[in-house]
Amino acid sequence: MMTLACLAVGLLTSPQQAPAAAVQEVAETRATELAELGRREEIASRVGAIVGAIEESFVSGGELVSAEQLMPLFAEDARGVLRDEDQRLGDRTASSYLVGGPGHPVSVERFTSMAKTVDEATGPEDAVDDVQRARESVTRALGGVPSRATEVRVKEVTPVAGMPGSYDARLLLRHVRSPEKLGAISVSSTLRLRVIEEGEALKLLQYDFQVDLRVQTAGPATTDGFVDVAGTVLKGPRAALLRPSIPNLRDLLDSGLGVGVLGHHGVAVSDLDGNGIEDIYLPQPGGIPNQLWLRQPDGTAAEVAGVMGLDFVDATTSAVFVDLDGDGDRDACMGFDGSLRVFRREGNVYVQAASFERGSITGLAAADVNGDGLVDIYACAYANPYNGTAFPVPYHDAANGQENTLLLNLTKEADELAFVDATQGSGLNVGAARFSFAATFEDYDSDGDMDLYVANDFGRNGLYLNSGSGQFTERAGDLGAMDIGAGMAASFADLDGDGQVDLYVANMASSAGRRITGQEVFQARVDDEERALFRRHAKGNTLLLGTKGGKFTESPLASDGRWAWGAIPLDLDGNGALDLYVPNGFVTGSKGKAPDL
Amino acid sequence: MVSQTPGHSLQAAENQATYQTYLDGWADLNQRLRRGEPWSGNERNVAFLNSGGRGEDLDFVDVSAVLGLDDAGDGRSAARIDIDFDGDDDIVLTARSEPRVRILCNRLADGVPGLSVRLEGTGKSGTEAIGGVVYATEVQDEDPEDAVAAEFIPGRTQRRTRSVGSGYLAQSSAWLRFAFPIAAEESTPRRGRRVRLAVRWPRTGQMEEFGTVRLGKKRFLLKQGTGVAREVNAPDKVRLDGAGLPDFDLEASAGRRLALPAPSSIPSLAARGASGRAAQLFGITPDGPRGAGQPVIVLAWDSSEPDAIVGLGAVAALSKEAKDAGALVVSIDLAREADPADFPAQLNKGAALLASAGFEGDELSAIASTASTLAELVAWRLDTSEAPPLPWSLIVGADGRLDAVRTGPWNEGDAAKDFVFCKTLGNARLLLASPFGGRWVDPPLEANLGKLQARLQKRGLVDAVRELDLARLTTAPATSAEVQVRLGQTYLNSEDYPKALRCFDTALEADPKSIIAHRARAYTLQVMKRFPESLEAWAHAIELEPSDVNSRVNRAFAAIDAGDLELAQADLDILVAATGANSQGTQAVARALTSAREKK
Repeated sequence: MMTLACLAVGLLTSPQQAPAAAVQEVAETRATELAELGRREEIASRVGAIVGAIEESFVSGGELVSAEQLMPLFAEDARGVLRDEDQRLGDRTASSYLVGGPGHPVSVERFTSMAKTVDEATGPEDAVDDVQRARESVTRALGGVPSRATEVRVKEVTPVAGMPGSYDARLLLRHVRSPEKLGAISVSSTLRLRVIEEGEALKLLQYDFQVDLRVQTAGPATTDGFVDVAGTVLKGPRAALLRPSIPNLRDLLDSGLGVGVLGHHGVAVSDLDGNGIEDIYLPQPGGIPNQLWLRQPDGTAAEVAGVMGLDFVDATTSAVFVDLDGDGDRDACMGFDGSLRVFRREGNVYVQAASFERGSITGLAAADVNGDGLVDIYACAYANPYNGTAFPVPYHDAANGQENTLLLNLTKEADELAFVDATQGSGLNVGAARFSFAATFEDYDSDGDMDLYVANDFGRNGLYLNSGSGQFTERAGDLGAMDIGAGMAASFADLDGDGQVDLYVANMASSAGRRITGQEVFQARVDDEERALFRRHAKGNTLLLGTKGGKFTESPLASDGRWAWGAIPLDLDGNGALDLYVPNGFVTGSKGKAPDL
Repeated sequence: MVSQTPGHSLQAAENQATYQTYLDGWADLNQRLRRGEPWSGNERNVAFLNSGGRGEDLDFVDVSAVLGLDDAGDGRSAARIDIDFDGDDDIVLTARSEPRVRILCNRLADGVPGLSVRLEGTGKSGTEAIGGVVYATEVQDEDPEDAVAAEFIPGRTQRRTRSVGSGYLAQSSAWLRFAFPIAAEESTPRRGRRVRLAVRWPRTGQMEEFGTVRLGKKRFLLKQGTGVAREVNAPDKVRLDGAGLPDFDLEASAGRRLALPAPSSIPSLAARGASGRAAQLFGITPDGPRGAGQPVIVLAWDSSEPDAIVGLGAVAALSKEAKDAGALVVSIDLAREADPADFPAQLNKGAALLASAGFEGDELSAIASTASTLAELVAWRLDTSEAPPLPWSLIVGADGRLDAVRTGPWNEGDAAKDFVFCKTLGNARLLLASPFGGRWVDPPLEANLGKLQARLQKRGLVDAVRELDLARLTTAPATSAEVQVRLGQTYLNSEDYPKALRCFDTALEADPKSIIAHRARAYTLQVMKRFPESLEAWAHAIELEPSDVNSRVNRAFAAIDAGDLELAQADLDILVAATGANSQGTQAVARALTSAREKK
């Protein structure tokens, strides 16, 4: 709350203090702006509902299947949309290729988009035909009717100039079909709608649908992809504790135990019993002890956190296991809500060696930063606006959070771990209070020392270049790696196979955010540069390709990762090129409509 | 919210006008989230498959929907692992939603030839060789040029780095994996395929060749300086069947009991009986919390609601169990009289219902702000913006402090279990409150009364807020340590060192872990030139907060004065690491140390 108070004072005592009347006027303009944004969001939600109903009928054979049934959704002056050859998907192929392992190919086809013309000579019947034709093209692309509910995302809503009450909307749709014993098919499409308000109702004026992408697996869909085997590996009552959602745990446990709301708990994979098989450590919410599953050669695992002294009940966000004293066994470092703690390994038991009170710890990264052969630790801290610790100001470029920490390893003897906070002395205090979620080390410029990338929520990320002695300089801006956005996670990897390391940053790609920040009425009085920052904030994940000179260039690929968290590079299909897996979703609720940004 | 944030390019007036709305936006959002409303939920996870194309042909396509990777839960952290020992990349995924853990076993890449390597460094590279980069290139036996080709052949060489901590809150496998698919045009895999391995070791930056290994072997250890890839045993591939985590029996339908980690003072509850006499239950007086001398179960309900008596559950069993435990049961009816003049008509109606259900206890009617206070107490423990539907129950200890909050109906045997809380304190109590075991690093020994106070304040319950102020004065032993430290600082300022020292000693008796008391004591001793004792005191302060720069600087000076230049040097080293060589404190210590050495 300290930060907040200082900040409020800073804002209120600015020399440009304006008279009350001006403040009032600004407040009124803002209120008008807000009302307009609210109105368009309302349109977005109604558009989503109309398309959702049409799609639901499509899958279930429900009420909106025939032309007569669809007709009431359209306005009288609705028009058909003309496209050349839009029925023949094959003619529009922009690229197609196969990936996947032997006997498990995945075929990918991207399609070009085609210019449309609206045929003024047509009427609502033709517009309804467009819906039917869209269905036909989906059916043809899928080889049948979708086997599950269509995914509908409303990406944009903009008013049509010169037509009051009328809006253009752009939606992304995904249809999926996975017939028994055949490959699964997913078809992604763009739907462009024009709608008009008619009294209380919202009617369709145009329905313009285009397939963009088809991906398809061959062979039985049930065996070709990824299968959740958690229940086969983790068994018994301890495993059952990992099942209930955070909201269910909140129902079960007193709030004083620290279950929290958002469920930020990570995972560490590391061999902790030296049997050559990597084990799984699972930090847990407050009230649920952290779990350590030691894996066996038969594929099963046993939960032994209690025996090894790692069954902490405090809300734990993250853990890393790494040899901190060079004695060959793996010590541990963990991030809690309020502290950062180091544990030394003594025999088979972990004992606390150091503790630092450091706000809410999120991501941890470990590497030797000063070249003494000892692994140091970098810990991110997230001043949490979701529990009122601090609020980011300004939202899109905030630096008023809690400071991240570099713990320098000063250990001299095995099992006598010694750490000191070297954040100030290392230069890592620059831009260190930016609501950080994750950090990762890599010798990205191949000069022999470990550099650091930090993903920050509410603003710019940091790329810290190591001088070699553990002195860091923040260079994200001039190296093209700033990636202003809601940074959640980052990973270095050679993603384009050119030998240069690239960066993949998980960001928040919110449809609602995109709709709102894209509006011309949104923050109408800030300058264009600042508006661009707002827009970028809702853009999505960022692929930054490394180049020979050390700079990064932004690629538009792999961007739509939604509200992404722990994106990681790995080889999903075994073609040798690194793919990206992106867990996402912020809070799935049990009631009410999703509020927007 | 974004739409209301203050900005760089706006005038102060505008920022001022929007700042409060911005904060209100956050408050509103947080309330919604606590109420269980969604925000960018139900999003399907994404898997971008890399086409493997070079340059313009590089493509990433979301294939999650056809590979079983598009779970709609609130995904958080993902880490790479080999779960079935077949050498391809599997995933451990954590989530906020149920199930909170999935292990996604890769069947897609089954059968692709590949190999895994682990690094073992020496010296400066560190045992774990974090930052080490492995290059793996498939080479043709027939082609002698390939054997001596460059370390990196674009499009053919795969590069992987050993890192600890990447993605979000994740540590992935230390095994670096390489896959070498069989080219599409080849119907059968060639025999004798080989892979050349090279490592760029961290810190030394040296490139070390490890020769070639035959594709088909699974795991290799690359030890720095050996130049030989040593094959290590890998467990046999296992077949893991698809199965989610086992079910957890929540028993949520049977209501829930939230046991506080430690009993908490609560404001008083006003009620009156059928006689019309008003009473104050519990509350906080200047002498501390006010208890009934025996445990009390307060049952809050609304007798005017249909079927309210059914919703209370087994009240007869509750009454009996309470009696056996020497506890009181009190019902507080939140129903209003249709006409206030009719009192106690509604209370009597409710009492009749309770009696018919076998309830044996006092029946009271809520007055003043009791209904609101009760609602806030319950919502406070649930950490929600509003309390759930009635009934609510409070379990209050003999000393008048709240032990547990219950919602939903009572079952037979519940009360007997709950009374255990009223008699248990300290760590044992904490174990009961967190029923799944485990150990605390920082136990929650007190309820956060500040949060309750803020809630009551918001409702305008001024009297209750004032009572909680009293709680802060009458409990919390830290207060006396704080007061003593402040008093001591006053003496210190007036250079009355012995008195100051006595205060700090007293403070440490009350709270032996008070960092500020240790520092103040160490400083006082230093000023009094009692250096050995001062050094000892600084050591305590530093042990409690190793990163505090001022303590280090001060101890270094004390050490110089005491003639322990070695200790001063050690502190100086740490100061340089922590704050750099140019900070004021570091320079001052360095100067003092140099002149002390010269004097010697």
